[in-house]
Amino acid sequence: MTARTIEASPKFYARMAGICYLLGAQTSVFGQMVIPGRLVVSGSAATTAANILAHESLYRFAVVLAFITVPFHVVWTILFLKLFKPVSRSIPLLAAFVMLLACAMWTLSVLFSLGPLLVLKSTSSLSAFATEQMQALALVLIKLNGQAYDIGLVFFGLWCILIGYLISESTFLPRTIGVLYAVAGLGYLTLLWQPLAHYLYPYNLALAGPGEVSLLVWLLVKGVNNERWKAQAEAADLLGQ
Amino acid sequence: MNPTVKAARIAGFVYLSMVVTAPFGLIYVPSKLIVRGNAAATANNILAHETMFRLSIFGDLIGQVIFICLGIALYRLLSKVNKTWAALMVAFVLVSAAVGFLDTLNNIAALILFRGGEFLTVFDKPQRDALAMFFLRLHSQGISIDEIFWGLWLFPFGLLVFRSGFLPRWLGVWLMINCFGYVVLSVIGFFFPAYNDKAFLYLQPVLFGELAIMLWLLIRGANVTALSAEAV
Repeated sequence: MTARTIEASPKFYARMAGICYLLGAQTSVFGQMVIPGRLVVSGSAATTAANILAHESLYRFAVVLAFITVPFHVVWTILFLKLFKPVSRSIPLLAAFVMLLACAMWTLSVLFSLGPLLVLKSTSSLSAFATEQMQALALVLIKLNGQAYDIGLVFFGLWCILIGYLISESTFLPRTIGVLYAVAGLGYLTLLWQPLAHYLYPYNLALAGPGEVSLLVWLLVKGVNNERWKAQAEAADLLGQ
Repeated sequence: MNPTVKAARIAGFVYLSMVVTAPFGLIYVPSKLIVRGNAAATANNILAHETMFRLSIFGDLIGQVIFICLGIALYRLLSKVNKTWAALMVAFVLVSAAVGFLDTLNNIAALILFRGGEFLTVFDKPQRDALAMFFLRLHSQGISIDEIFWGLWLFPFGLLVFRSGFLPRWLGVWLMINCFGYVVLSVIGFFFPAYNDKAFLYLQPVLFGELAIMLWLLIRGANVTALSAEAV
């Protein structure tokens, strides 16, 4: 049993979490925002349908990316669960559950984004509907995908606030990053009320930039401070006993 | 009984209950009721055997609950090997179960549409059936997505078995291969649906890894002598 435990090198865990975070964030942005943004015209079901059918493999690629983001997020969630254990016993677990809910919502949104392909490509079983009706149905499914993704982001916002708190309470990561990360979470929480989110867009999502980027860069470049992590872990153990 | 052996037997028993119940909703009911590409025939079948269809929805939900119990039972058995990998295993199980729960909504939507009802009279029957058929297909796509998680959780599971010292290493390897079996199956289902049945057939030896570990946990439990030898 030569498993690499977190006690041996928290820095390694932090770097791994950073890598998974980066890959998860990139696949999510490209799969749910950049590529669909090129294909979907939210006011026009006919144009959207034509775009999807003309660039079907690109659309499928986006769906795959939107799915791949989920396992990456699951992995760094568990790494964070271990990483922040010295700070608090229960809050890392709460944060992990919140993030897993986000992951479930994102997976569900992937299912909705498969719907348009079923609707637009199956000519036989849906022949009871006119083409315009099927195209409208496809657009409804695309919008459901977006809503499910946004609900996932609300849970992600809660995660950001909890993790931001844990970072600022920790001794092994800079407090400023914790504050910025919690602010990023507030930006995502605006998605709870869609009219507000539309009104504030894109500033609400721009709030996420400083917190997410700074944490990501810090994890990748510096990881965490090994000695301080161990000191806080030992202090927590003493308190627990 | 040694606590590790007991934990292994409990996990094996929970596993058995899942293996026994899952095929009903996954394979048996769809093969009896759903006629691919024929909405009217499917509608007739489901309305004629509504109880069976409802039971399959119920079975799906129960199946997810059993899956969560299995994750927890295996966590109890394997968390002493490595807590991080064990937590990752449970995390994949939880996401999979949540997705499985939500996916049953598609079958429920299909049932509502097939049954019709006053508020649905604005659609004519072929339209209702077609829409219901669409939800049935969405449900099966949901299963394809969930299939990836059925694979992914097996990787940490297999790794923990491999490192445990009280379960055979070859079973751990088999489970890790089984992980990729499910992922490959899902990818084929997504990109090359025509080859899905063939792939399912050829991948059987890989997918039997889960059956093997279940039987081992149930019958052999855990190798306590290996455990005590290590303790000394």
